[in-house]
Amino acid sequence: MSEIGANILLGFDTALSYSNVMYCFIGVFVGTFIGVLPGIGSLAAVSMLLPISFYLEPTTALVMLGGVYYGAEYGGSTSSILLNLPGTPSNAITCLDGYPMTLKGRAGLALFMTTIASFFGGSLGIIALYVLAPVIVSVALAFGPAEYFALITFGLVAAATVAQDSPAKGLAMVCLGLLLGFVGLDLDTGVPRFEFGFYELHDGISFIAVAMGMFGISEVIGAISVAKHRPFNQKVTFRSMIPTRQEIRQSIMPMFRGAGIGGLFGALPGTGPSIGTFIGYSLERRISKDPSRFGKGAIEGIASPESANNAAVQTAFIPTLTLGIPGSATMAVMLGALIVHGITPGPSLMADRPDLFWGVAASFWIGNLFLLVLNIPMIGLWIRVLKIPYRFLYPAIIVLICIGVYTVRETTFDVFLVVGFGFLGYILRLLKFELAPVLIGFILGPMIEENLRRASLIFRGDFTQFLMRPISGILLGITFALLLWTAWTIIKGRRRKLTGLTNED
Amino acid sequence: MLRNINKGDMTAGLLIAAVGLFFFLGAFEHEIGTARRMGPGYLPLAVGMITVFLGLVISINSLRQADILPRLDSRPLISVMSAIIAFGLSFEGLGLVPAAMMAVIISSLGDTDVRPLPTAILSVVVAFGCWLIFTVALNLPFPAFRFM
Repeated sequence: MSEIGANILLGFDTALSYSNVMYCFIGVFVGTFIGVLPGIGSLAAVSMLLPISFYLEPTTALVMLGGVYYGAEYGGSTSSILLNLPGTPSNAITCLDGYPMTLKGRAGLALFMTTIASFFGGSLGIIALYVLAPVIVSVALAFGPAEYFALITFGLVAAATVAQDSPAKGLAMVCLGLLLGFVGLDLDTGVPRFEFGFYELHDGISFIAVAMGMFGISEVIGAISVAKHRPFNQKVTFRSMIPTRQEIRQSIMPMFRGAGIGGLFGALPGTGPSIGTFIGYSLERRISKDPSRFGKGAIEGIASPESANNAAVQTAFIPTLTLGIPGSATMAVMLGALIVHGITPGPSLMADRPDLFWGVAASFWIGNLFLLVLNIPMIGLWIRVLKIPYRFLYPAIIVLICIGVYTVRETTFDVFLVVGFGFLGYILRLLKFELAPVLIGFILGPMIEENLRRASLIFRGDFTQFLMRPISGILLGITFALLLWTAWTIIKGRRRKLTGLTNED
Repeated sequence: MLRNINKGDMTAGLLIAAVGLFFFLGAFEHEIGTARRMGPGYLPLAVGMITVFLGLVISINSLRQADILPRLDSRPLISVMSAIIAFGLSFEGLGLVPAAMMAVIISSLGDTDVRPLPTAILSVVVAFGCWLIFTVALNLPFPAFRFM
């Protein structure tokens, strides 16, 4: 017990140093700013600040990038509510009831409640991180390649099939990501694969180029025409933000449920925060006494998904820091940042660098407090940001993306890759593909391959051994059940209208 | 012409299947290996095969409901992509400021409301700001101008 207390104290000691507090503030401020802007989300935000983080001490770098990540998720709800345009993809669900609240003149209340729900979900997520991470580390020390393979496969299949409009398309995107991940030198034999004669591809496709192209550039291209006509001139006064007792009572349980669902999906490897928001919302609608209120400004409809979203963002750090498997696509960028600093996250991180692990965890409390201030008393600032015409913002975003991509490997080849992936991302979006699974497949692909090849060597090619080991057997069993259920829904031809709600308006 | 199919999904499925096929065939350039000792071609072959299958599932599924092929929003698409290409071509030869200004001006053309003066001001502001952040504050080796 005293060891835990000592670790928590060590964490706050680290997080409260002058530079960590300052970079935590910079992170959440920039994150909120980018989150507020429609079109680009936390992934592009974290990628853009990546070059800056290389010049910081690793703990400070992770404190700042983490701040950008959850800051963007807080800020993203602002434009969902005011403009009906999600600020980040995981705030899309908040549009459904947040924007109707604005139309009813309750924008202030909606902004207040999403911030409170975000803080609530975020706090529970951090507590989960404190409690679960040490447990997972103690289990994970016994993990072999079979367990890693099973866990990653389960994460990929869950990301592709749970809460997707079309599971076949989700799985296809994961596979596309895996295939892109094969580009580059083979780890075992050193032969270049699918490099098309470009020596720049020997180290693989730049992850940042894929992320920025698919998420930064293709989102900007899609937003230019959409973000133009945004009539918005409602005054948000402090008084209009205060909820009634009835409204508070209506939101508390949805916030708890949202945090639980979001926290669970956030902690799974690969499944990002969006899934938790979808499920949280549809659960509220299903258990509501009057489901017809949803879509017309039901307060539960913003409380639950926002709580889920921010809980997921915090618990996404659990698999990343304890197993070295990113909990979401954005987490993968941060994993990459740590590797650049010479730190390989895994079960030994907590013991080797307790200052980093507990310091980053403690900084989440500080960052969430900053965000409470940034999003309630200072909400007027972000409303003003939303009034800047998009045509003055997006050219700057594009230049920042170009410089950011260039800086990582100092080659213009990667800048041209961004063009290619931006185009690909835009086309896939038009064809109604979800892009997060591509990135997750791309990042986890090499890990899957490495662990599968190692495991098959140990098992002498006998795949049934995967099922004999308890942890990998159970995970692969669930994965298989998930695939069977998915195949069943496809054959029956019933598109699961779980998430069909996004197309309602 | 088939009327009651989802043309978007049909295109999407065929596209995915083609990508899968490409990697599937490409895998044969490498040693495939066995389940006991997998070669560099083993997983690309397997995943390529699964991808082809999924592409076909998406295409077949598209026969069930009607939908039109979505339209490209070509103006923003072309301007943004040209802006990045211009940046990539000029950054190492001409320097940060010209590359950033060009990228701002070209990408601004993607919006139908573009006007010359605000765009010119924006390009100067963005270029100067980037120079301040990256060259001055972060000390990266990106000179404002480079002469060939």
